[in-house]
Amino acid sequence: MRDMRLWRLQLALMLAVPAAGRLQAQETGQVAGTVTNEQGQPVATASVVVQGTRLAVVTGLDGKYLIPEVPAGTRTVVARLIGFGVATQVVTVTAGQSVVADFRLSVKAVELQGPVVVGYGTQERRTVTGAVSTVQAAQIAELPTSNALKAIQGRVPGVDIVNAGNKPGDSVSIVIRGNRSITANNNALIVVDGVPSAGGIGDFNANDIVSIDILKDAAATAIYGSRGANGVVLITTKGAGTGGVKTQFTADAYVIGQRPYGLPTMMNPQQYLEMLQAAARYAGSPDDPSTVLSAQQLAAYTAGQATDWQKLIERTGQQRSVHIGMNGISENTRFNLSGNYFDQTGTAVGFDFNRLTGNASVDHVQGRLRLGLTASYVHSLQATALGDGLWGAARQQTGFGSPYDANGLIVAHPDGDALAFNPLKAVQGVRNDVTRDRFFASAFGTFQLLDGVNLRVNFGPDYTHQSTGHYEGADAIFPGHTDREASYNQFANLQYTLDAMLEVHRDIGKVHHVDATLLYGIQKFRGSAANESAVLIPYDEALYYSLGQGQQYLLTTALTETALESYMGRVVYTLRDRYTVSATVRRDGASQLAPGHKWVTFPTVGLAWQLGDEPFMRRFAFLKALKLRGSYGVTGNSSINAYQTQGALLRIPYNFGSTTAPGYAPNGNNPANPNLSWEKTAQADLGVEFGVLDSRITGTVDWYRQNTSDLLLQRTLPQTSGYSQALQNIGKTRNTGVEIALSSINVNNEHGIRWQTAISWAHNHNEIVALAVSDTAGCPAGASPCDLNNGWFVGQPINTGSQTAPLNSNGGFVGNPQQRVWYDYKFVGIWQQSDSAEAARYGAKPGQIRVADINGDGLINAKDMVLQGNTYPKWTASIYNKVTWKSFDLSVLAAFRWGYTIFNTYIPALFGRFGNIVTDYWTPSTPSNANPAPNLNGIPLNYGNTRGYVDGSHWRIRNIQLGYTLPPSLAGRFRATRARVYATANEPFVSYKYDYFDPESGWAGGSPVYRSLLIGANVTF
Amino acid sequence: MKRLSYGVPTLVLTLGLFACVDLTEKLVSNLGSSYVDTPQGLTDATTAIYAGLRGFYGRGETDYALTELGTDAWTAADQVSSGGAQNWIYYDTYEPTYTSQGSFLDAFWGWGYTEINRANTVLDHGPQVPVGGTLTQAVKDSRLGEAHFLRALAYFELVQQFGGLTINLHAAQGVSTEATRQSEDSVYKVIIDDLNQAINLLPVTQPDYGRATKGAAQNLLAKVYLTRAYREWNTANLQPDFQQALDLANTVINSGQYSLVPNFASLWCGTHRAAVPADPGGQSFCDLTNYSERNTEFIFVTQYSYDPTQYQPGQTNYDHLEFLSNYDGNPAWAAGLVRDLDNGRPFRRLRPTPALLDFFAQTRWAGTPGPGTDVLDTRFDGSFQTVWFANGAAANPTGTCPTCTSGAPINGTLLRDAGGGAIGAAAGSDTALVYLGYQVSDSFRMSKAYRIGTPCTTAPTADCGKDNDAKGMIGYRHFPSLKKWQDNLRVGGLASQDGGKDFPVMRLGETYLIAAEAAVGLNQPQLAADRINVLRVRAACAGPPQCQVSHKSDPAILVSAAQMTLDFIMDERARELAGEYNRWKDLRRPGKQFFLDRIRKYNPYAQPHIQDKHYFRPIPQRQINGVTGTPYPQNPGW
Repeated sequence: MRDMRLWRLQLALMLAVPAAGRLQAQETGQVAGTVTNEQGQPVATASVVVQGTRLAVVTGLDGKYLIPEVPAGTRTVVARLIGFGVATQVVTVTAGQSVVADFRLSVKAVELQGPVVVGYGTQERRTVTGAVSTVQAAQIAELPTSNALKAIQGRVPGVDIVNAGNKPGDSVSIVIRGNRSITANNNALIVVDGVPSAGGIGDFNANDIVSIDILKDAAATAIYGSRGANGVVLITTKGAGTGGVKTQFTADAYVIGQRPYGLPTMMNPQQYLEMLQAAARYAGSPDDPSTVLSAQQLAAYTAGQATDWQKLIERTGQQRSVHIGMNGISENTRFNLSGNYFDQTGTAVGFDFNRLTGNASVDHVQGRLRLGLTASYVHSLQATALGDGLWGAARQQTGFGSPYDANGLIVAHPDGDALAFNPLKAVQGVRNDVTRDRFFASAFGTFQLLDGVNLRVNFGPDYTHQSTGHYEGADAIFPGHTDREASYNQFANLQYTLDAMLEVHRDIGKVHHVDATLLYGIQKFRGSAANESAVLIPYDEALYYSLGQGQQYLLTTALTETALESYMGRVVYTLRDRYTVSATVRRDGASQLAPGHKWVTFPTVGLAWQLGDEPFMRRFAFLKALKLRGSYGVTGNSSINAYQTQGALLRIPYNFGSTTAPGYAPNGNNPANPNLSWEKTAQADLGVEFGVLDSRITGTVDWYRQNTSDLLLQRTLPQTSGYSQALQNIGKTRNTGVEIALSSINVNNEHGIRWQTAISWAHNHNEIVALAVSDTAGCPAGASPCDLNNGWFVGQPINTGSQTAPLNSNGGFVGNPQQRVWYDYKFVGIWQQSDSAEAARYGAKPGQIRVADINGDGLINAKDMVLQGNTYPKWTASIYNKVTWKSFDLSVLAAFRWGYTIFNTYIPALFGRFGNIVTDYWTPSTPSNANPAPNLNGIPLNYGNTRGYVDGSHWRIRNIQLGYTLPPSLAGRFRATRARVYATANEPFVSYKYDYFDPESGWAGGSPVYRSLLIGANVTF
Repeated sequence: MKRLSYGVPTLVLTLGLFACVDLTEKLVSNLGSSYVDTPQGLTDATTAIYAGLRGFYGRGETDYALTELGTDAWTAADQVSSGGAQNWIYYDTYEPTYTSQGSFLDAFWGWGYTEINRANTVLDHGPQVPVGGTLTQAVKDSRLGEAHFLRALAYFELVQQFGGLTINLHAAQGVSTEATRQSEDSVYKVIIDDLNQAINLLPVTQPDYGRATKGAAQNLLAKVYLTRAYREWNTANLQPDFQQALDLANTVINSGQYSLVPNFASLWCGTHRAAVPADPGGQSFCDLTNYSERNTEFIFVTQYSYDPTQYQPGQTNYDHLEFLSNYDGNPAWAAGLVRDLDNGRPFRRLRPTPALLDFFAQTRWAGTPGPGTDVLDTRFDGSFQTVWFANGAAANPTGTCPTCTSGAPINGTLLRDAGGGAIGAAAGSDTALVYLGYQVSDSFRMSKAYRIGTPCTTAPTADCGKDNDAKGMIGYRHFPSLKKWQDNLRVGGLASQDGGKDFPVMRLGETYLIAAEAAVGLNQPQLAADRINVLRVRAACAGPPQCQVSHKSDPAILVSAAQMTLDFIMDERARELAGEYNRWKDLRRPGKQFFLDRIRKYNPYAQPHIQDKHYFRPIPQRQINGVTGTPYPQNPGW
């Protein structure tokens, strides 16, 4: 610690001395103008920058901009926008005066130049040495959704965005360039306006986002050191920098209708009865309807009563969004205010989500000092009643039962089976409400010490309070469950980030340019939680708001604190605007890790060469731009829970007689590990960026390899060790991949037709390289050593869930559905009557599932399990097309995911207790080889899951949008400066190779995926 | 210089906010491992071993699957694995799908080693904890004794199922995936050593109800010696072990600390509360309203509670679900019955084998079975529910006799006992379903308003089919429910799984049987008969209303030295200890052939499949897979 304090002192002195030095008032003027396209129409959201300064604004919807406080003198002003070229003008700024600079931009496929947000600042894309992908606001806006990340799903190669659920308000996960870690988090770090986000991206309003920059390789992510290994998503919100007009008011609203798809077809009563009769005959029991059906079922069957339970709970989901915003500028102060209301009702009864967002930004310049603040407040409510289990409950019904009795009242157990409850009754009686309040802000102050030398301080608090109220009314689920139960769990998390930076941007002579950043930063997290519960709540109206009136009141509270301390230095040196070297060193200390292992240094270097600008390349006229870059660096992952190194005792209460006795025992899942340290990823990246045919075709190709070592591994142990699991730094994984992004302007003619195409393609190969064990005994061929208990095989991808079976003993899916390796018995077919002698050897009989006896020893046991694919696609791709003609625009996004195996959760259960999916099955006269003879009485099939491994390869149209922008004359009639109406279809088409659920989510246990059609308008006044 | 004034605050802010970041972690909401070295910590670490008992005794599906299924006394009911993702009926049938990957094997193995590690933590740290404050020398001795006792209990449970084991005598230091397997002999030596230390350290009585006592350790040691005596590698100690078992059992019996409760049924249930139909015959559900779970007979119990501050979520007694039959929701079988808290939530996991019902026949229905025979032995009615009072909205409907050719209507109204006397005749009540232990005539069935279930006619060694509803016979859905574990005090209502009734791990009734079995082993049949007769006299019916006359001194209740065979001891254990989670281990104790013979003879579903290898449970595959270095040995045949 001592040397660190010294460090800090030096830093402080460095910062303080020049500050006290030369400080004089500077004379300034302003630059204003309009940016248009080749047709003379205004171009919105183009950036306008005064070169050599930090002064930058974005044009308004009328194409206008205004830059105040420009130091007097000759200045170069640059305008640019993604999809267009760059325009430059030199103006002379006179103190106290305004100078006009208008720009006309021409169309370009993808900008290989322009500023890129790189973390702790922006950089010219030309000189960026790392792999960075950028998505602009216009692309995000094409897919109206509650979550901005969903809007860029499939657009960026190597960035895998998957829905964590399909309930309204469910989050998404973002994984960049595959999974590195088996136990620790693989989710990318999300940084909003320079502040690492503590509470997920779901709280953001997509309308407030200007760009999303994705840092993929070590050169780009190393500045986030210990948190950069999984890639970084930088989100830049509008802040206060937008708009060249005095004030502007925007309204954006849409409505949407949504329907689920990919639902299985359930047996109707006739089919169900036939299955039961087949089961009875197979078991040698009487098969008359009065025996196989319960009394209720028989009565319903006789009366011809039938219910389609999935239809009953399904409804058309609605989604609405209203956004209003206002921004303006006054002298040295800019502001931006916006508010958004978002509301979504799910595609099944009982699901609702709404969110209110308020956002305020202010930016003030006073001489050398610039202060800015962007603050957001979000309030959201996600009500899910029974949650994803609702769909399972509907499918559990056999179709005989009626949801309502003769008086129209809801029947609790329509089939007479106590475990098969009426989903309508459950929706009525169960509440699960998640309320979130989040306040987060990003404040900064910059002080110009010298020309091109700034001191910057960032402060970013992020506070979230979340409460989950759960209530289960009497008889809502179980018959005779007269007890009303409720719980109220809440947490309050405060994280803040404080960074001090010294930034240098200097041209040295004509050929040298240096950007340097020195940083000292801290991040602290404090989370407190309280969980309360009670039973025997006296009346329904109390819900979870009156736990004190119940009995058996329980309360637990907990506190978690973590801290991170960092030093970082970055130098980017550019020679002749062609050769760039960047180097970063970051040193991080994290409280979660063991003493002596808390600190580690992460170095990186990157090189970029604008090969296309070399004189000898001029002869290749078709080649407009060509850049080569390469980088190598190390980043880390410390995302483990606090206190895991310490082996805290587990509290287990007991009683002696009526006396309560607290028990404390070693935690069987968490032995103290005083050696727990960082998980490290070394990554090499080679990339080429090019533009040909006058940059009508541009592209980027990247190759990368990541070697992750000292994996933070939660291992399942042999229980004779005294522990079930332990977290250790053992093992290695590797990701190798290729990413290609291509963009082209296919047509851009005098008739105003413009057709643009973007293609992305990515391949990632993930494998475990080393494990804690070196045992080869029992490993499948080509996959040893292996850790069978955890389902880890060297040479195979990472498997989550600490087991190989797809489902746990309760039938729930285990692990992350995107990260599973299948190791199970091999389904061969169904034992047929001609096989009966052989079947008998295995204790089976015709009509049962036959699995392969791999080692031929006449027994089916653990030695007969084999690898059967995994959930990692061989490649993913997307094709985006956009055609504009006059005021119309049409875009279509198609996505591909190919070469992987998923577990089909909709395999027919074929037992006679709950609802069943329509299927064929084995009978002596119709000997199916796909499904066995059904079982009676809810007894699961032997080896039933082995039927479930299916090819998940698929392609889809992710969305289609048609828009019309009103001509200014028409818009002007109702005093609007701009108006656009649009219609979007999301997920209109999916093509996959097996029945039922959408394979993207990897399993079907939750709520189904939905299609939506929406209509919206965006008006600016 | 005016603008400087804006810069200075920025710098001050910058430097001022950067207070030193402390990266040291401080546990606030949890205790660190050094707590065990404090006086209170020692006690609390000991408590955690007790709390761990709830992971096996009375909890989950593991206990019955490994101790009752697939025995001569219990077989699978219709929903044995319903609701699970894996079909675990193989614990009953010993089918080839029974492998080392079987559910519950690993859970049980892990339970044992968790208990052992918790005990080792106490035994490693305890001796160094200084005496002072509440930690007197006596308390400290007791805690160490308790840890020795509980460690022995865990090893004993494991060794009886798996044979040889890994022996850990110290708490895990760091993470090791290497493990060696020691012989059964070495495991027994550890157990015996632990129990001898426990006997030395433990007090005769404990101030806290439920802590292990000297008597508990002696009683367990008696059973350990009895079990070791038969082991094929133990021929040298055969007789001394029987003698030790007998002596220790007698020590416990004669210690003055324990006594048999006079009424067998009161071990499990109280008398019916006022609000429900009277049940003078004691054949209906088990009412805990007037029940005390503390009695003189329980030697060591796993304690459960209805108070959630005294258990972790899920750590409640689950046994009330497992042995119940499908009394409800099936008008075709018995109308007027709906599921309620008193009769319980039937999970239908286990049903008595025809043999088990037959073991009771010789006491209940001595002589010629049938109406008019008096109740001799109260243990059947004390163990089983055979009568259900109508609780539905309507009175019993009329119906047709299932096996009557005439189809004559049933028109009776009251439950009558075997002799024709009214039993459940409280005002407003009626009876819906009765199981009888003998066959009855069609006319008898027709004379009653209630449904009658009778034993399978092919008992005891064969079952006449699983689904016998149409014949009016006991089948795999409809059978007498074991009521020992019924729990109508569950707070959450009838659907609640959270039972709070204590689980007796050892009771004095079994001690008499241990003594008797040891005496048989020592070839002292009269001694064995004497011990068993104590239990039988206790069980003899004391007179009306359960029976017509007292049988306490009826010679018919007594057994003679000539009857004292190992098979008889096992039959008697079935009567005394039915459903007390011992059967599989009991059958296994005398050796492989005895185990196979009994199961083949009395469990028709296990008979076709059971083989030598089933004498040991397979070592869980997770253990085999997880051990590095020298492979972990599997049991033969698996």
